[in-house]
Order: sequence, then structure tokens, then C-alpha cells
Amino acid sequence: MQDKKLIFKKGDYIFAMVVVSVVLVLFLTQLNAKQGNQVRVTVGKQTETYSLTENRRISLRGKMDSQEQASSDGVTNVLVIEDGQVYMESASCPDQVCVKHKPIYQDGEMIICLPHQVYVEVDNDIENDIDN
Amino acid sequence: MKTSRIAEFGMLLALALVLSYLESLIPVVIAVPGVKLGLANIMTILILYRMNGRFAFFFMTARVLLTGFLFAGISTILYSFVGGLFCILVMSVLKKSSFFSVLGVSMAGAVFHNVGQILVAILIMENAHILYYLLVLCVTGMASGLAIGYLAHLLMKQYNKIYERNR
Repeated sequence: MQDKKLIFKKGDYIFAMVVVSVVLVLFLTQLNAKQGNQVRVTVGKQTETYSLTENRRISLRGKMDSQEQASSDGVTNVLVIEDGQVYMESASCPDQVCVKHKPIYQDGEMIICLPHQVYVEVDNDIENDIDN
Repeated sequence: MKTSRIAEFGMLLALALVLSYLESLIPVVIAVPGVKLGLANIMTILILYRMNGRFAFFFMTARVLLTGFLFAGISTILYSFVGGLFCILVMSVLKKSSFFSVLGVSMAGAVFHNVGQILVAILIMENAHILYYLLVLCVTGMASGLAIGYLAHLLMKQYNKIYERNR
């Protein structure tokens, strides 16, 4: 039966401590992220790479939900690269999580649209650095 | 299965659906997929504590299917189901050991719900980088799990009182 008073038990603390420390350690390794210079866009199994320095608007044809009424040309997401940042301008999914995501520009940052299986990641191409 | 138990199961399932609907009305504040309060999990915890892990599993399956078709969209069913499966497994194991209170059980449930969802995302998108989302989801999962665990605790006290009175 449930106790009248609610108290944290030993296991609660241990669990919280373990999760918090794991998150902290992983977070610290992520802190020294650099500005990225290219954008990798994966739709389904196809990946394309774009430069982060060129402004452009990219129409993506992601996987469509059977429930969903996409525009007739099959475009599910519109991705915009602008002033060294990437953001999702529009998406035809109901949750709009990717559209609300803040613009990304750092190495390793990503925007994901789960319903359409669209994956956008900023990364830093070392070869490009040498060329420049 | 006793008739009263069936009625109780159905009532709590209906309540869970209402809570899922209520939650879908709350605007998304943090735009990370998978971040949510998980109000319906209050009912899953109630089932877990009043009945057992097997009932909680059936409860979760029914809830995920119904909310999937009603509000959330079919594509979310797989994510919710695997997340729910991890959640129930961890919660029922932790509940059996006496080291955890409802708060800890609920927190662990929330975190492992996220772990399950991320695993599905990794398998579907074939991209392991998504794992980094787990960092954010662990923190938010702990917070929402704590809140949900406390709510479940408050509800359980009243619920058991009323239930005993009307026996």
C-alpha cells in the first residue's frame, strides 16, 4: 500500500544522480563546437551536401504519411540556407517541430523531421578549410 | 478478470485518452521532438500500482493505438509503442524492488520512454547522430517524470480512499 507521506527513496537519488552525471559529461564534450561550413541533408536514404555560405532555398520530398495531404508536387519540407544559418521554412506535418526549431549553424547541430524522415545536419568539412 | 476490474481499466483508459487530448492542446514550447509532459502516464502509473505490469502493458498498447488514430497521427504509433514498452518494463522492474518511490519509478519511466523513442528514430532514419537528442530528452524527461510521479502520488491517495469507501 502507498505511504501517506511521500519521501524520496535511496534508489530515486541514485537514478537521478546517474542520469544527471551522464548528461553532464556528454554535454561538456559537446561544448567546444565550432561554426560549421556545410549542410548535409538526408531524405530517406539519399544524402546531399550544400555549402552553408551560399543562400538558397531547397524543396525536399520526404516520406509522406498516408493520412497527410501534401502539396500536389510532393514537396514535404522547405529548407532555407541564409546568412550562414539553416532553418526549416515550412513542413506539411501536423506537429511542426522542425519548423519551430531554432536556426542552426554550429558543427553537429541538427534539425530532424521524424514524420518525413528528413535529417539536416551542419558539419565542418576539413578539406574545405584547407582549400580556403 | 473481475468485472469491476474491467470497468476500472476502461475508465482509466478513457481518462488517459482525455489527458492525451488535453496535452495535444498545449502548445509546444521546446522544439525538440519527444519533449512532452506525458500526462497520460499518470494513468499508466495508476494501473501499474493498482494492478500489475501486464495490465500496464495492455493499457499502454490500447492507449497508444487509440491516441495514434485519434490525435497524434499514425506515424507516431511506432515511436510511442516502443517508448511505452521501455517505460513499462523499467517501471515494473523498479516498482518490484523496494528502493524506489513513485517519483523514481516515474522519472525512470520517462527517461526510458525517451530512450525507446530515440532507438526507433535511429533505426528508421539509420542515423546514430540523433543520439545526442537524448541529452536534452534525459533532462526534460527527469523533470516531467518527477512532476507526473508527484501527480500520480496525489491522485493515488485520493483514488484509493474513494475506492475503499465504495467497496
